[in-house]
Amino acid sequence: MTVLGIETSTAVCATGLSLEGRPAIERSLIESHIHSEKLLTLVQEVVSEAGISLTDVGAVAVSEGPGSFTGLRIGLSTAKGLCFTLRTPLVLVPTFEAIAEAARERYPDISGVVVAIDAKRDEFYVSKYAVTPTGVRLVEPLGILKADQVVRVAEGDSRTLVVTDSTERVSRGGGGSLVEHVHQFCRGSVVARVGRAKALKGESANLVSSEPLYLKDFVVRGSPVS
Amino acid sequence: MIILGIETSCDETSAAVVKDGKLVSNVTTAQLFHSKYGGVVPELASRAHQRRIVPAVEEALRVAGVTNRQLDAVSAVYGPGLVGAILVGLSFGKAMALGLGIPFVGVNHMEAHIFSNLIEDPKPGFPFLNLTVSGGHTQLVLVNDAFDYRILGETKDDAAGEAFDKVAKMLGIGYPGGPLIDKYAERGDPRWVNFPRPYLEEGSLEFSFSGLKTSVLYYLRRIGYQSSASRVKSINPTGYDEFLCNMCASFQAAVVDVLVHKTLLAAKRFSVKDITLAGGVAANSELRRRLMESATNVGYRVFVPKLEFCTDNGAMVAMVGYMKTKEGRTSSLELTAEPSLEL
Repeated sequence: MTVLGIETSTAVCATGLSLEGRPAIERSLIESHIHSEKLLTLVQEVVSEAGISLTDVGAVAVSEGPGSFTGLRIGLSTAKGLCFTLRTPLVLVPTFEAIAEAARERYPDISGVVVAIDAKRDEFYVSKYAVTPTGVRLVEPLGILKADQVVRVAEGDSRTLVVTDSTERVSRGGGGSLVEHVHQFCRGSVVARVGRAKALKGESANLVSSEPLYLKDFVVRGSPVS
Repeated sequence: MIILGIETSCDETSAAVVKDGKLVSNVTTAQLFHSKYGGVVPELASRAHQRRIVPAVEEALRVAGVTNRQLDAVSAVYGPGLVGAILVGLSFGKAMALGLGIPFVGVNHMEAHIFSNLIEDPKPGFPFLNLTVSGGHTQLVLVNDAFDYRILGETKDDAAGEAFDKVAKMLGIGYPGGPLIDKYAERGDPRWVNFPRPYLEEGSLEFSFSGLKTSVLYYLRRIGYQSSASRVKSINPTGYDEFLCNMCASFQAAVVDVLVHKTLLAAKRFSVKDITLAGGVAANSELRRRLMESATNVGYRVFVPKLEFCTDNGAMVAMVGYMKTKEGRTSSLELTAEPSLEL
């Protein structure tokens, strides 16, 4: 099965294809506020490089969050529009699982990955994965932590990689772990690959009711418009 | 030619199908939950669109009796409006077009409102004068031809619909203000308080409703409304109801007087024969009645859309989409949301 992957949860706008018995194909741009403009162009580029047609896509996998509300909205609405017309299943891939998987691919020797993404108001979305020879396994479920607590989750282990969009703030906290910027791990082909495994297990999402993983409940502050 | 239209620029999730220039379905779900916040909350509107977009489009296709694959183009609003809300319908619509291998047509929401008068017969003839009045806009437009517009006047501050919402809030009668004020005003005396009519300088086609809103506020302060409303309500419910009716009628009369006056002024100045009304406030019964009466008295033909085409709807979007597709005016899949897009 060929799976299209969409990753728009950060400033990276990425697409990728996971193909049966062929190397993955991917495209990405790192720039804020271009996702709505460029996402479909990047979809067309991976499809054309693979020499296939969109109708050959068997499932669409989208990075579900947490992340930028606007980015996630663009990614999921686009994925829904594609699934609705191509009549393919929609697969939601936990963003941090795809990031941890991309980190494992780059650094096969690490034992764990902590993903920590700025959640504003001096908080981080954090989860921790253990690296196994075949993939990553969730060991610390997704939560919202203060900056200084992020390092504690990594336990100062030199074989644990911390992946974040705020490398300076996280590094400042000390600890012996290696800290890397998240953008290089936001990859369309990895979302496609993780999504493909889920699709093959029949883990597809509801096309109508699926929403991004906002994680934070929205609290109405100040005056609404109009 | 079969065109799908998608509208998600504010708090209505709507989809419609136009077949060879005729509307065959229009499915709108309003997000009523915003009323408890006293206005539209953008983040919540965007989230609701995400849950409603597929059912709205599915239902519009089902009612029209067509399948995805029979569509010739997909159109969606790309502005003006709330950016997060627009992005849901726009991203979904563009992806549909790519998935089906058909053209995508981006639609300007203000242009779509004008086209709400071209959905059903009888239709106005070009050139005509259009007044769009809604929660976000108050605009007089000379429509020379489809896609050939000239803006004659706009609001300098609050939109007419915004003034309705704010006055309803001051009176404590709820949200959205338009339909509520309209309802109270039906039983009220429009001459009860003589609020100022913001005509601006002689002959001006611009609007301003901010001062009128302040006049209402000062009036309420002067009579000590805020402090005594609940007391009056409890000891004299009939008197309280009468007070609300009279206030609403007096405020509404001031707004309608200005809208009708300037519309007639513009119609005369630009020698049109037909006048159209559009936007959410076009649903106001007093505005519809007064414009119809005053304009027809002096020989104009007045066109007012059905209520379902006044508030935001997919039908007007599909109609623009149809006209644009026919003329080959399709858009790139790189079209993005423009929250402050102008006509």
